[in-house]
Amino acid sequence: MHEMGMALSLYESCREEVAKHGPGRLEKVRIQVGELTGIEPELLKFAWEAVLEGGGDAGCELNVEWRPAEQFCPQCRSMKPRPGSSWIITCPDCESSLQVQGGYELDLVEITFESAEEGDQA
Amino acid sequence: MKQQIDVKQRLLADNEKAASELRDGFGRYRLLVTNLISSPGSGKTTLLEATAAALGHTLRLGALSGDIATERDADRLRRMGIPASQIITGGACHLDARLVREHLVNWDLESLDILFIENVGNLVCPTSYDLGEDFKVALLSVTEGDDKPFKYPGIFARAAVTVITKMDLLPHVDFDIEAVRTQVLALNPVARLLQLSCRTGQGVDAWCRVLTDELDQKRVIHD
Repeated sequence: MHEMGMALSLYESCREEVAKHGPGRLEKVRIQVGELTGIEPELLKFAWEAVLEGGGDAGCELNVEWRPAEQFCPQCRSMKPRPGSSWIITCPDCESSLQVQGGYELDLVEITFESAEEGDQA
Repeated sequence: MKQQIDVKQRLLADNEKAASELRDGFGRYRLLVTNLISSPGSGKTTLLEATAAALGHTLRLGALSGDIATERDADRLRRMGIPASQIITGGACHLDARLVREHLVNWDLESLDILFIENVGNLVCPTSYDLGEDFKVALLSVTEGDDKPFKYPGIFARAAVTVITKMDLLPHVDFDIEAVRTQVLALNPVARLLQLSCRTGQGVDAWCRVLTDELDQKRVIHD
């Protein structure tokens, strides 16, 4: 549900961007998705295919870059490695409280498209 | 000809713009706004009923309740004497800022002190959508299990206040309050944790104090 709405608004944004450069067919879209957004990359890709199906941009590849959140120790001034997808409670070196950084990315980064102009002129 | 465009645009840019306009409006009216997020059945509406009973005679409260279907929550709150409007999402799993704006069109926000936005029951999807609120409140009932903050880090990392609800049931379930506190503080060291039961009244005063303190602060900032 969530991913479907996201795929639709992503597609609208891509179309608006391409429209600024004239007519064209979407080939590849690169986005960043943070761990804390609650977006599941595979579901988003599935929704993306469903949104594009039957239209002129069908087959456009969605490339999702996954961005994990990190835990930063303000005392040591360094990132502390997390145990897989779980979290550490306090800094293993100085026991300070840690800050969660990143993980909220939800960004359209790059669009590759095939411009229609050249074909029209040929 | 193949072309590449660098974009760097937030996927929810439209929502963020609408949320920022809402936030400006709420600031002008010095209205405190909270966004309540939890699983279905954690007690969001019940907490608002208790809040209406405790604060309704001194402060002007209002509520927007989001649900996939039915007017039930808004009905419950109206019976408690607070103006409430139901947002029926028709299947959508979260509220967004544009929906909130549409539903506030006919509200006289100047005549309110606190607006509660009761999100659709869901610990995942609502967390990414800013609604222009001052802070998010996460509710976790003791029957849901004490492992939830690390399982749903998105909301517990962002909520300024986490309310553990249904504390009256604690003797009947295996729920470790300290484990929840540890997880929440690992995700958000400045989060406030409250233990509350609407049935016994435990913690309702502390919750109301959080609201009135936040309201006082907002009034100072926007004076």
